[in-house]
Amino acid sequence: MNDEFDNKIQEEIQNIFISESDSETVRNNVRKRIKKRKKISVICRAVIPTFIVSSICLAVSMNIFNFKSVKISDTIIEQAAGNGYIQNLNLDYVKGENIEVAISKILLDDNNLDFVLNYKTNKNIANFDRMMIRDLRVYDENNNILVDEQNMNALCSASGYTKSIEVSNNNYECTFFANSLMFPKAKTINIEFSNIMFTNNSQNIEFDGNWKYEITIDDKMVNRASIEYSFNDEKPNKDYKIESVRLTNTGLVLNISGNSTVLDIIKPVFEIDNVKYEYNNNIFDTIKDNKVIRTYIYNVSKNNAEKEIKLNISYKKENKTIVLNK
Amino acid sequence: MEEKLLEYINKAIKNDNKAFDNLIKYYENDFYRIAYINLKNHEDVLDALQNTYVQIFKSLRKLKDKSKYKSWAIKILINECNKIHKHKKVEFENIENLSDKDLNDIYYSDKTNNIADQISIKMNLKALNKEDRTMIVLKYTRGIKIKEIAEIMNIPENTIKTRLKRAKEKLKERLN
Repeated sequence: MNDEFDNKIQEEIQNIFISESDSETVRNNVRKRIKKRKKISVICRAVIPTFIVSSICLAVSMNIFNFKSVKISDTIIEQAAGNGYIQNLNLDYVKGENIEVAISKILLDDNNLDFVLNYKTNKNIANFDRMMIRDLRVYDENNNILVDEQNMNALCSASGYTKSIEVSNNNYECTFFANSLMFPKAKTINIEFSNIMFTNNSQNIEFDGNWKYEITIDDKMVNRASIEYSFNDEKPNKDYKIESVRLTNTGLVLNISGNSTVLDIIKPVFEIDNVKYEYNNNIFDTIKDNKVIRTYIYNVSKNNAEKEIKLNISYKKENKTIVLNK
Repeated sequence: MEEKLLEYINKAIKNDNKAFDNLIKYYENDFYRIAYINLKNHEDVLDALQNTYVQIFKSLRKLKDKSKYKSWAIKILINECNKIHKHKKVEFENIENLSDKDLNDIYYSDKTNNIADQISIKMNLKALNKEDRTMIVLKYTRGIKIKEIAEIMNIPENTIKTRLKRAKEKLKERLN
């Protein structure tokens, strides 16, 4: 039987509850960490052409369909579009069985290959919010394989799709995104596939066809330039190494090497003019020379980066700040 | 077991993000209370909760008896709190050291008019040792029976009963 004191404790404890904002913070962070886990589980050791870097490594690609449950506006494509670093395409729809597909936009820089797929079908796919292409192959004029899950030499380290959304009656759209430690400065991109699948929690629907697109890449992407920063890490840590920091057309790119457990704990944040920048959802791992290199991308534009940039790294109990130099 | 909860669990296992979100919300206040009483500061509480939910996401498929979801998840939460504990020392808090958040929590309650009582209970709860605090908060969390507390803390049922009684007496003494 509960006495008065019991009731007091009960009341006191029941009066402790999580605030709405904390609840949202927790759920958002959990979502990010879960997505990060899914994305990091794709590991591709990429063969990098010798004209780009001097070391060579083998490629193993694993297929993962990473579904971003965010709007297209959250992808690199929308941010790049704001900077003018996007190429609008005027390609015809190509027919397959019961579906027609076109590609309306593309972006290619050192670390990102994104393109927007538009498709029309009379089949009811409104309830299928996930799209994947089972045999997607992307290569350039020099036969560098940018994306191909069956090919060990593919450059892609991680890839995925945003949600499939209906933009108007029977017209749908989603964005394919791929990341690499270094995509080539391709003049022509070929995109080919023959099977598309839509899925939700309980069902799949597939379409077959023979889709081939040849895209001439804009000069601004072929001739893109990035700024490499130099820095002096006065207190290097034996558990990880800051490999490089570059400012590209789609953001500030940080590469850190170490083992996965260490990399999961490290929190790198950039600070520019007292504003802190955390990395966006584009994190991916590449294995090169038997070490894991994690690439973080930050939404920092060339305008933001005119001022002094500091990199703050917290790892276990260590917090350090490194100033970057152009 | 409630139908909705089972539905969320089953869907979350199939990587349904919305269902997993709902699963987190289902017991979020209970879990928050447990972490809150266990840990010293607000950031640690949120860290413990996040780590717990990530662990739940990783291991949900392995849960054979879904009716035991709550106690299974609480066990994970307590482990996460213990990990954070290893690096920190929880000390008796003076009221001067209570953060604005703690004070806001106290004043938020409109059920007890005696503010002094509220401050004392919370403060003195936190002053008990870690195991006693955990036992008390589990005992007063709805839906958790002594048998489940014993499973969660890996302590025999009779021991739980004895220690709970002693912990309450200690609390009463402090308040007096």
